[in-house]
Amino acid sequence: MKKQLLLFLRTLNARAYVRIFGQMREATWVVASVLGGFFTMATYIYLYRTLGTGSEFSGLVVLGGFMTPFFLNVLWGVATQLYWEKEMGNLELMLVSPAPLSAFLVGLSVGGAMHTMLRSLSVLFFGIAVFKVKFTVLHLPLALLVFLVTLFSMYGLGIVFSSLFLYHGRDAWRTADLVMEPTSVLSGTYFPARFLGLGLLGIAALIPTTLGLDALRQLLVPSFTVRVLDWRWELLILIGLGLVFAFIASWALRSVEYKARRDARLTLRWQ
Amino acid sequence: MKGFLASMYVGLQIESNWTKKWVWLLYLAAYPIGSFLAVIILYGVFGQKTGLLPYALYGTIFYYSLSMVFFDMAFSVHDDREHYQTLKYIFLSSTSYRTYLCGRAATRYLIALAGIAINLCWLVPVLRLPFHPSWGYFIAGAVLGYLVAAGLGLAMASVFLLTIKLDVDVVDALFGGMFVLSGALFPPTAFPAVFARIAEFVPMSPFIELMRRAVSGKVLTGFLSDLSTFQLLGRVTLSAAVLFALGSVLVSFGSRQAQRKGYIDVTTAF
Repeated sequence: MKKQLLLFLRTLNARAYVRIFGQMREATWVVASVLGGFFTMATYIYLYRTLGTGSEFSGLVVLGGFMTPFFLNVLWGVATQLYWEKEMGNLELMLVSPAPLSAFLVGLSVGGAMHTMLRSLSVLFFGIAVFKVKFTVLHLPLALLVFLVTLFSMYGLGIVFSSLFLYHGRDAWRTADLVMEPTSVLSGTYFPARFLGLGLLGIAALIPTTLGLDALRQLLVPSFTVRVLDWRWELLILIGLGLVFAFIASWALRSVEYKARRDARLTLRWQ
Repeated sequence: MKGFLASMYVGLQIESNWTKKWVWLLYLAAYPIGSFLAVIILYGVFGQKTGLLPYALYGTIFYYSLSMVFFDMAFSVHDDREHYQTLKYIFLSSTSYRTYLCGRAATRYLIALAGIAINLCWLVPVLRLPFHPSWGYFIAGAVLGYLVAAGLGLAMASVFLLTIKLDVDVVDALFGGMFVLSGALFPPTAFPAVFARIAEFVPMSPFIELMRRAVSGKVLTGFLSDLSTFQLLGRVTLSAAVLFALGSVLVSFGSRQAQRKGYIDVTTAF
């Protein structure tokens, strides 16, 4: 048991290390992703100014801009990662090693969250500095708690989806490309999720960013009133979602890996 | 021409042969929705009184059509070199690399326009969008818009040819920056005066405004309203000529340099 745990942690550490330091090697990657996030944020802030909404909407957009890199990292850095590993020929090496696949994915998530933090904080900083957005820091520890639980839940969802990419090829990649924008919109990244209406909100609540962002807005934007639920309830739901995703991820990885081995899909490239 | 058509066919295969034909047709129709979903929600909730929904919706979908060309050209360098490892074979073939890129991107553009057309079939009646197409301007605008985006895409592709580890985030950042400034989503009057002036000279702005007028049949806001539709067409023609010529020169230079430096078949697995 102790040996297995040690192996898990060492694998986690090794994969997280690559994610954190590998991504720092190219300054252009960091600069471009911060600029990309900033421009998207600027688009929505100017759009709200055009529409004549209150200034609190700038705060909502900046928080959305802060969470967007995490969302993109979950989608492209965790969920689709096994597809890229397969395409590059690394997956077979990972699978013949004694290290558990789940440890690779948790390592990816931990490393991904850490390197994304720098980008997200930069977007937040520029958002605050350029658009003069004000947040209340009265509930900062609680906001941090909500943020960490949201990350736990988001990356859990990412690992669930990564099992799909273990089996599928370009079709899964295309699907990720297809759902990226609608998912980002539905999770209320740039507007309060309550405006989605009950039907859409029910679906959107399954995306952890939706409730996580809503809770963060309640805690950090003083004039935010169009909440979905009280942040305490949202925190509980997020914890529940995180646990459910962790359970499904562990089950899905095992069963899809078995199915992929059986159908000889693990080394199938460019399909 | 033969090389261009062959490249278009390659583009079609890359875009479509990952699934069954009927699934791909659904995908083709569903893909553009992501580009305008936020517009419908935001203008539906907050902007009903402004009357800017047609302006924003047409602007966003036509920007989307250009972004497909722009992104596809830049990404295909990386995709062919790193992922499929076929870039060296393309360079060995008798078709020039510029022709190949243009052919692939033309397919992407046609696919994007087809997706837009399918979605307009329900958007126009449901949202009661003004729709009085001027087909002459529309076709001319669509061809010139392709050349504008291809010019920018070729320039970006030349940068990708000469840099091994450049991430596509760079393209996203450029695309994002031009999206803000082009006035696709809202009239640039919301900007500080300097940026509002710059917005008029972003290469995409006249194209988007031309297409808005060509489809809706009217001038929707004060942005570029001092130009007649014919003058807009002239401005788009000028942008297309300058950008495509510049892009062609850059990609030819980039191709030669990349071959000399041995960047054609380098893989980094990043």
